[in-house]
Amino acid sequence: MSMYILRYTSTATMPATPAPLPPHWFQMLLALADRDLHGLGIMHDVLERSGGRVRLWPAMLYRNLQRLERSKLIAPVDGPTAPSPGSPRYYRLTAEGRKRCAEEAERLERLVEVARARRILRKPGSSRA
Amino acid sequence: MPSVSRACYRVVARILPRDFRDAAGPGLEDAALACLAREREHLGVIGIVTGWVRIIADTIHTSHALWRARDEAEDERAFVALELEDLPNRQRGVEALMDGLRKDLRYTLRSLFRQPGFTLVTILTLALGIGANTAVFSVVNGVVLRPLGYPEAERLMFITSQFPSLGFDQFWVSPPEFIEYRDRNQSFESIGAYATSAVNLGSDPPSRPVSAQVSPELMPTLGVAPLMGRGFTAEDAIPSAPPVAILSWELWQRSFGGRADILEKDVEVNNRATRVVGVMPPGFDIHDQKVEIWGPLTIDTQTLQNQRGSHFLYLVGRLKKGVSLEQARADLEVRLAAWPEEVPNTHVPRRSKLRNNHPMRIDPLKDDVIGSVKTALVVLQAAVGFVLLIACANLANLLIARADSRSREYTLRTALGASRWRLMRQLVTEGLVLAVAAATVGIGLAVGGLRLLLSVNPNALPRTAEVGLDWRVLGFTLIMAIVTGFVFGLVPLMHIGRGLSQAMKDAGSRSATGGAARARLRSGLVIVEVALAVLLVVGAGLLIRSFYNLMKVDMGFDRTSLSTFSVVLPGAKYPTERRVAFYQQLSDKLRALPGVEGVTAANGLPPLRPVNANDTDFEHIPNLNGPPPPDYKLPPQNVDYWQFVTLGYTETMGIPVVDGRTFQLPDLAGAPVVLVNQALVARFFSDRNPIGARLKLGFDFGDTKLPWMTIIGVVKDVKQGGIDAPVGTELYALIEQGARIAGFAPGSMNMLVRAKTPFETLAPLFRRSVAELDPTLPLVRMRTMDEVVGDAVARPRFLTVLLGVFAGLALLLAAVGTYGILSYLVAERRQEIGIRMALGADRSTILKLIMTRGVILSVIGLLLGLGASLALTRALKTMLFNVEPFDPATLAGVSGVMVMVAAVACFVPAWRATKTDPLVVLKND
Repeated sequence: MSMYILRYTSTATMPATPAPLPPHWFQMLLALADRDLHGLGIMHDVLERSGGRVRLWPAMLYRNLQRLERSKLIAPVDGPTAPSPGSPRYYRLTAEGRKRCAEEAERLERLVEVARARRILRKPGSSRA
Repeated sequence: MPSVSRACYRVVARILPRDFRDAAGPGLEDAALACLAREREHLGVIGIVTGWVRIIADTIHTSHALWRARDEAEDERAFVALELEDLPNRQRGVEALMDGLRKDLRYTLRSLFRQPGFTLVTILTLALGIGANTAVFSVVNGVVLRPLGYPEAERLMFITSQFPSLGFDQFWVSPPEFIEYRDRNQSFESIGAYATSAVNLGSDPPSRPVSAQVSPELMPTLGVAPLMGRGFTAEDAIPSAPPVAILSWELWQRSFGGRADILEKDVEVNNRATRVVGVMPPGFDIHDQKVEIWGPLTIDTQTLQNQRGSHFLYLVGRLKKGVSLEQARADLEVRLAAWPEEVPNTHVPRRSKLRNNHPMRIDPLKDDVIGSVKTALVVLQAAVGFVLLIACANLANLLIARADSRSREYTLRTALGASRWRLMRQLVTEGLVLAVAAATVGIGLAVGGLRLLLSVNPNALPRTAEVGLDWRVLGFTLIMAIVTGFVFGLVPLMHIGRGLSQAMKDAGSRSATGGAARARLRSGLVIVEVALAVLLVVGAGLLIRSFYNLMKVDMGFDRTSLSTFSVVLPGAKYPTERRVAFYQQLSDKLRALPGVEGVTAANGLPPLRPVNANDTDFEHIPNLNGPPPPDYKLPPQNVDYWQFVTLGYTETMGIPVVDGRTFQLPDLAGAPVVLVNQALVARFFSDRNPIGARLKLGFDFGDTKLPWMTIIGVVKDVKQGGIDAPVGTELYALIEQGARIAGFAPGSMNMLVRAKTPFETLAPLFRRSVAELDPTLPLVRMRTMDEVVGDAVARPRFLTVLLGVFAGLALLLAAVGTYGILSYLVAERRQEIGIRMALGADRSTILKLIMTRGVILSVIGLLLGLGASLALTRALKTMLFNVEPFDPATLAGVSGVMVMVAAVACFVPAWRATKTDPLVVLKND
């Protein structure tokens, strides 16, 4: 009987084939690409990089951090200071996270190339004359 | 500032699950503060507001997402645990059953608490339905079902007389008729007589309680003895006996502080010292008249035979044990046949084919007290029952949707070995828990609603003092809750009932099998809902039209800026001549008040007042009071209303004079004159000119021989017997003439004042004017004429408002139901819609697709509802005024409203369907 349950539930929660990363996940992973950051740091990084366009909100940020952690794309690490009850948690990109982040970037790059080929975008460096 | 923001956010963050907050740690608050700072920097003061709005929205949204994810996981764990726990002791026996029930209950409570939205909506909807039913049922119970508050009340009968030729179906009985019937009948243990009026009670401040003059037999007949003191004796009823009174318990408490030494004390009743001999028990009353002071009915047996025409008594009899109503009626027929032979007088009760037909009738006292209200209450109960049915249909739909989302649970539990019975038990437990919770809330709503209902409309119903919650009402609510609970539980089961093996197959795949049956069930529910709503809206529409017709009726006088109050002049202090002087002085004082345009007085206040039905002789119609031909059988003619007024009545009331002239100043000292209404002319002067014709009262007034009075004018008909009743014959006489010529002036007059000044300003001035003349006189029934008219239609308004509210509720519920079904339909057919759109269907096609489905369902429901209303609104017939139960305008109007409501209810989901993104749908599937 218990065998049945295991089989039944495991098929139900089988992960789907890798889909495109949600944009905000991509942004968060990018923020962690070159350094460990805590939640607030990720938020600031995303905000600055996007010129204030991508604004993360606290509960959503932390829920997604938990989901990223559960998906093993990021992992908690000790911060630069000794851990104390009041200090925030730092996160680091895992190998899997780095791989998915790269895949997403490549996917986007391919899209950008298509856009260039179709003359939606100009070549990099060309001035807007 | 940051510390304040931090504290605020800490409160907001409470919405999030605790473990989430713990895991996030202080970073969550830091992030929130940073967001707020960012917004403020960016947008200034507006940023503070938008920042907080966004933060709160973010918290709620996240919290919702987290709970949902958690519930799905936890549900599964919970029911797996439930079945596994049950495995070892899956055996029969009471103990196992009780144990199982306990577990079911626990599981149910847990699952309901975890879906607070669903639970709240279900309980509130049901509570509204059950509460409204309980409230209406407690009215039905108190008014219709509960026996009258006397011992063996079913043996009490109400005895009245009839004058078919005058159109009086239930008329008073005269003293000689009472005594003759009391002494000669074979069917009653005892018969008592009473007449009600009101008296001036010399309390502080002076009050005017309702009084009843009762024969000594009345209280023993009713079977109620005084709480203190004694009842009336035969000696009290002799005209020369010293005046005595019995107080109601309520009056004793209110005006005399419940003092025990009240017995054998004198109180001032109509300015006469009257000895209190007893106090009745609380709640004692007769015929719902709210009598507060009881006096003996004095009948002068010396002049008994002269009182044959004076019908003013109601009789209540107690049937002998074992005598049925039919036997009593048969006995009455025997008496009616023998009466004219035993009593040689033309004016005795008899059954005949001639115009002197004057039979009597016996009805159960309770039927007479309740009267026509019974039908109305039954209609209301049915209406509110329909509302509950609609609510049930809506909730059943909700439960089916829930069952759909739980089909995996059912499948899994079946796989674990749960029997069908086991699942059924679980579902019924859920239904019962919901229904019982709803009933508890509903009883609270009922208590509040009932209090509101009765305080808004205290006079619309009889016996309201007896309305309340008792064991019968609570039993009714309990049964209602249990039935709804079962219905709830079993509807989803019908859905599962298509076979669990099928369900198991379905659970894994996205197959649509079974969808058709389910869709049929849901469509059926929508049709039923719409049909019931149509039925209620048609009923309400008819009542509203009927009420509108009532308010449109021409009452014959102009009631704008007219106000009224009445004064009662006790005979002991105010003999006839002083009365007229008093009315004149009071009128002069009122005329001097600011803004007053006219003042007049009348003894009967339109549009609803008691009938006088005085015998009246017309000079041109020979009858017994004229020169008597030996074999002449015609009784005197009868005029429904003898209205005594002061000079200026027609002008102040705005009653047009149709022919001749109205009263003028010289008439005060001149020959006796009267005005008559059009109805009287139509009845007695169809072949001649009424102006100049003469009439007089059909009996002598004491020792005074009354003179003929000349008709000087005809005035327009004024409503007197109620707005919905046809106008009776009426004549107007001047009280000044009455006092001078006949030595008669009414002891009670309604003062009528037309003034530009608002009523609120006038009311204290009225009081002061009366007090300046006589501070002991109570002012009663002071109101605007608009209020008088409003009171006259209190019952139809009560019904119209209630049925209107129920119909509105039904309409709303049906609209929500239709909306819900279509939303579900859209969700179910997302795939199909996506494919259609991918294949090039445009938005209008999709809109049409969904709308058509909804509108077809609504129209079927509409047609069914209209059909049912044709059959059922006939029950409303007695409550309608100038509207036929089959009223094309109302039916058309209702259809229009229904189609519109249905269109809106269908449009929203249909429009949402057009927003479907085919790519997203196809990818996900």
